[in-house]
Amino acid sequence: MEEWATRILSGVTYGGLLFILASGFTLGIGIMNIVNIAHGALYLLTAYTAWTVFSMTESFVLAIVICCLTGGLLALVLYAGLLKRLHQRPLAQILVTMGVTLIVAEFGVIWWGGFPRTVERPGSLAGSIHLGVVSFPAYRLFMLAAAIVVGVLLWLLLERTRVGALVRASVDDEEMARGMGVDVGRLYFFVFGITGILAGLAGAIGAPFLGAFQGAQFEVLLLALLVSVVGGLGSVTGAFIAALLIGIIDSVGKSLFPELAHFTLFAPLILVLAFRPTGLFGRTQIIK
Amino acid sequence: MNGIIRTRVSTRKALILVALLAAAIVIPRFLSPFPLSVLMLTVIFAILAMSLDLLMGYTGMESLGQAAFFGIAAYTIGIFSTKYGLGWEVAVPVALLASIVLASISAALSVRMTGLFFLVMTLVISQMLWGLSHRWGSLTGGYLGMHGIPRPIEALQSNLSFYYAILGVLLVSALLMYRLVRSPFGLTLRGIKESELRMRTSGYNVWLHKFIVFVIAGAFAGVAGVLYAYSSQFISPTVLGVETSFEAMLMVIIGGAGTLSGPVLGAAIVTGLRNYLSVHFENWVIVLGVVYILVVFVAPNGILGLLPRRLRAASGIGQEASDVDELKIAVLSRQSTDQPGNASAQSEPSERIERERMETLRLEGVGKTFGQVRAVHDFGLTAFTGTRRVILGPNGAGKTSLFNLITGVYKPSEGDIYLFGEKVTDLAPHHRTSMGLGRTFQVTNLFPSLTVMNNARLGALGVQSSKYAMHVPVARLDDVNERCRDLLQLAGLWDVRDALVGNLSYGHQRQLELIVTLASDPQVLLLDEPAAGLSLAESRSMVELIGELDRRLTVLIIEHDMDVAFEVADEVTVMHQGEILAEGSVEEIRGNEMVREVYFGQSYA
Amino acid sequence: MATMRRFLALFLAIGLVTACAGDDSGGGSTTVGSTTVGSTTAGSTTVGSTTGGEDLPTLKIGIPLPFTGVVAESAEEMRQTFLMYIEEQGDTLGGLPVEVIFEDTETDAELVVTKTRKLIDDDQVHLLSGPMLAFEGLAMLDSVNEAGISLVGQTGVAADDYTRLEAPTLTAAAKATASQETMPFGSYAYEELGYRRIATLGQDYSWGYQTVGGFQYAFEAAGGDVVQKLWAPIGTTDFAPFVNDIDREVDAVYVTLIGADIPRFVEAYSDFGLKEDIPILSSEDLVAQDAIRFYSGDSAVGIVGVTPFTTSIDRPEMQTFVEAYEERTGNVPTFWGESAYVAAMVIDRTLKYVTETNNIALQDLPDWVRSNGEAFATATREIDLSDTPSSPVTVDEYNRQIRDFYIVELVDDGGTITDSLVETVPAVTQFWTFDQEEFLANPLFSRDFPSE
Repeated sequence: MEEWATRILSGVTYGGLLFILASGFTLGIGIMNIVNIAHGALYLLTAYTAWTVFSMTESFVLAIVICCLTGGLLALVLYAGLLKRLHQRPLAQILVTMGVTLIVAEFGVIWWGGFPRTVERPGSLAGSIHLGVVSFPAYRLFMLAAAIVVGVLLWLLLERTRVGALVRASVDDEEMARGMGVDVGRLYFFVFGITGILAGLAGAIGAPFLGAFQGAQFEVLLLALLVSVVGGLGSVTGAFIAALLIGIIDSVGKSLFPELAHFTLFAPLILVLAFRPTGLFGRTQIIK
Repeated sequence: MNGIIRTRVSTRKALILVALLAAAIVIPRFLSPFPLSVLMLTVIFAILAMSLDLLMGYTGMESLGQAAFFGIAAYTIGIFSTKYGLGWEVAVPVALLASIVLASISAALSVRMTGLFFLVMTLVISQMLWGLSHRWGSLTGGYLGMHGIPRPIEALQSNLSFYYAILGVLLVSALLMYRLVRSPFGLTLRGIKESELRMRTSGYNVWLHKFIVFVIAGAFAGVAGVLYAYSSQFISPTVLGVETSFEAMLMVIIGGAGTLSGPVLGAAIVTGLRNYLSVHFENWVIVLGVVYILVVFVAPNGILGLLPRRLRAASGIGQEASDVDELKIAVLSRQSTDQPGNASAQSEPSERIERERMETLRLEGVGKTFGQVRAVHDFGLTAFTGTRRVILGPNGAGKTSLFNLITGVYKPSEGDIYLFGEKVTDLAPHHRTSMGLGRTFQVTNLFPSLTVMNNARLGALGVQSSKYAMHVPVARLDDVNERCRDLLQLAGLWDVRDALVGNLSYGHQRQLELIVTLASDPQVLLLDEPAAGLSLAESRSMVELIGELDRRLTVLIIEHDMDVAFEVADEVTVMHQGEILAEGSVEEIRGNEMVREVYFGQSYA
Repeated sequence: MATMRRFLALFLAIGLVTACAGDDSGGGSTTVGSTTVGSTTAGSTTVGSTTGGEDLPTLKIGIPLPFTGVVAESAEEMRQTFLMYIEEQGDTLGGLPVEVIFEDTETDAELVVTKTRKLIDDDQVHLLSGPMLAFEGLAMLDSVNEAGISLVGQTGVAADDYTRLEAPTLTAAAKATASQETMPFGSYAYEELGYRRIATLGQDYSWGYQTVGGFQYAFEAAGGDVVQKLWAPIGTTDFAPFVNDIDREVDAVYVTLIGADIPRFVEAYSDFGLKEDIPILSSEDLVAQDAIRFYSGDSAVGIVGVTPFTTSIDRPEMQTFVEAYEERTGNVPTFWGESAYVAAMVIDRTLKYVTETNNIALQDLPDWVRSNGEAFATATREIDLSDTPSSPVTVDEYNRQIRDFYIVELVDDGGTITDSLVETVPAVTQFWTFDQEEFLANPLFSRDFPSE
């Protein structure tokens, strides 16, 4: 019994990290139709940054703050410098972000070398927490908690604030929104910055768990893609549910079917593709 | 005159191709092994890039998943030959089959999705395979890959001989694709790229066409994968990675999409870049990244697109869509001796019209609601052979929505629609077209990058089974071409049949709009503001053209221009806010006070 | 006219292909290292003067290594140690001036093949050395056999497979096999550590299979029982499922993992509290210097592993080697660098040996070497390698290294983690204590052999 509790909780907490990894990615798609291939590269950069900050200052909080700022800043530069000119040209944006991925990852090699780096779990989050009969690593619970906080904040931002309303209006009908005086350009700027901050947050929180490593630019992209597609492209709620689902299936699946350990991560995707290709919370009008 | 110029162009092209072929055959003998291996990779990736171009350049389907079919074929070869020691006779067919099956599954999942989502879906499928090949170390060897794949037969042991083999495959593939692109099916692909909506309402099952071309492209990618495995004798997960899919796309874009030679050029450039940059730069990956960015901003139409337009036009680059088959038309076309204005726009009476007066179209209580907005409500209508009815109403009255409902572009929220007595409420647009329904668009909906002749052909092919033919050039479909000739002559467009529609005057375009619809031999014709934007003289021509139509046709026409409307039609339906305000004969409506007030606002003589 | 331009454009593409034919055979064909030690022209290093005196021919050695990619730093280390040895010999090997041509394989296993062919055919090297990653040598093998040139293997020839393959020109005097290092550890675990029941966790590919297999084979031969075998896909991001699945009744867990998976596993192991209860035994991967550098906190303390290379041994050759390398680059060397260094040593001494025994004039030596790859490889069995940095070495009849192995434990040395010597296992062959014929009659260690 406690084995199962541990397995499921492991899966759920891993799912928390997956959500944080994917949230920025799916937000970009949902709001601006931008498939930011460089999302994984942003993770790579900020995870290495977290390592640097942490090794210099021993402060995890500072690492988080700096990573979020770095991620946000880079995203803004990327948008203002390149993506803005390619408004409503999805393929062009994808190609450009692919180029950025290669460049950023290579700078990662130049500045930090090729080896993986892990950040030590910050003191307060290093041990285990006792939940009844189960003893569970604190850092994993932190990941889950962070995911919930991020999810709630995003939801509040989109559903309950004026900015969020403007954003939703622009998604529905951009011309109309412009016509009504909404500075759509600035709005998108702001939103893309948020996706960068989320990527930075993912880097900071992921660094002690996943580590910073060459190859992350594609590995993390894959994870973000998985979660986004299963959850429904553009849906933050969907991403949250999908992330938890993927985490649980991966964890439980590996235990139940060790021979299929390499499949477990993809099982939810395969199921979704078979039964509900638009994803759990996806928009159905993309199908004709 | 035109014919002569075109001959010169195609001869020039032929000469270039021959020269290149000679170079491709002779030069490799003198290459040292490393450049030779790079050349071999170029040839293989050229096939992959061409397969992607079929999707992107011709059909407008932007896919980031070709690596999946490339990689699965390569891995099948690897696994079958190294793990199970099977020869090429077994491994190759299975590998190709794997690509085709995977492509079919992918297509079934992703083809119905639009633009961005299609792109992401193709990406995610190939990424999933990549992830699997990485993790499934027991089968694939993981990141270190599979080595020691033997060449299929002894004779191909040396790189030089294998090079000639794959060169041969490239030529055969290019030839097959060339035929495909020139065929009726190939034309439908280009039509889909230009205007899917037009294709659907012209009778094409667009989904099916896309499915087919997706699988074909997957098969060619599989061919490239097989060659790759045997050529390098080594494979690793990178063949399935994002980078492979992206590089294929980069090749197509750099070389120029929509042509067959573009991808080959692109393959040469990107492969050369990849293999030689690393020799000179340590952090060469950055250069590659910059190339991706530059291509988008500087050369979105490919390197050849950087040439001055005049030169490009003169040499025929980027216009492969309209060349040699036009030549055939010039040679083969008979001078038309038919009387202009032949009474019948359809050469044969349709089988559907059995009696003098038969019900052709019926709407019962049809309505459509979008969220809170009621576009159409409780609309009823019965039309017979020979009915000429105009639908009047102010903007926003629901007229075009009505047409969309009749054609099947919208599904009604309520009510039913009958064509020739059969219920078609849930039937897709292309089915209705094949039953005999035709429709023109208020905003001209043609295929701008195609010639006038090809536009007409697409209109005609929609209801023919030959639209799936891949083995004959479309120029050889005599019945289709004759029909198009007749129709174009009717509209006075025969002389400009080789012009690109985008270059036509607006008036000509509107006429062509009608011709394309007529080409599918409709018995029920929906004309959406045919005279929109036309000058007085042009309107006159349009009215004459409509007047040439077979009297047995059912015609519904939306018009603002009263002259046109009352000349063409016998009956009138006036719509207001989605509902029928009044209906009756022309005289009745002309005299109707209520209509006048609501619609005309002032008296109209 | 415009078609001319198109013609040219396409020829440009073909030109790109032929362009470097000239480039390559000249002075530079490789990536530039990030260090500027030594007189390095663009990648190819000519060491030693050809002026003055006899005008000796230059010996050309080709070495493919992954200079770009995740293991780039270790590849660079291998370049540096190889060159360091040459310089220590007065810029010669076997009395000849040397040109070393390094080629970047970009961590793409397939490029190993292409670059190897290039080295053999374009650059006309007399010898090959390298590669780096455990099974890359297998990729090169076809080309090497075909050309008949000797490959003096570095870390990339660790596969057990070679002993059973046709590889007459291959010498693995500078590297042990995968299972060679873990079999003694298996015996040690039973006899010295007293373990009876063990679970294994291996990376799901050949290196994992062979190292785990070796450990299990010896452990069970001694009387132990491997009760559970887990396999983790390469690039596993979450090790919780594996950690939680480990049978809690075992005495220890034997682990082989690579790369970024190592710290992830170690952290998860510690997270879920197994660290205190069940000790970790490992292959060289978890206790090597480059892995140690990247652990955080003390989660790795207590891991006991087997390795061919550790700076904790009291061996003068090791101290000299470490000091020299530290002076050269400021870093501590690892088993990667040592293998390259020993490869250079092997080349040097074998050259001298064949010169003497076959009475070859130095003038003719390079060509002789290129044409007699098999003889050269065989000759490596005869040379004296008692003074390599990490252990005295002899070479068996399969051209494979016989050497000492070290069992080390990771300890907390005032805040940093280091390896501390626990035991030395001398003169280990690739068959350990098993009968050679029987061993070769068994299948290669794989996912299923030995079975659970």
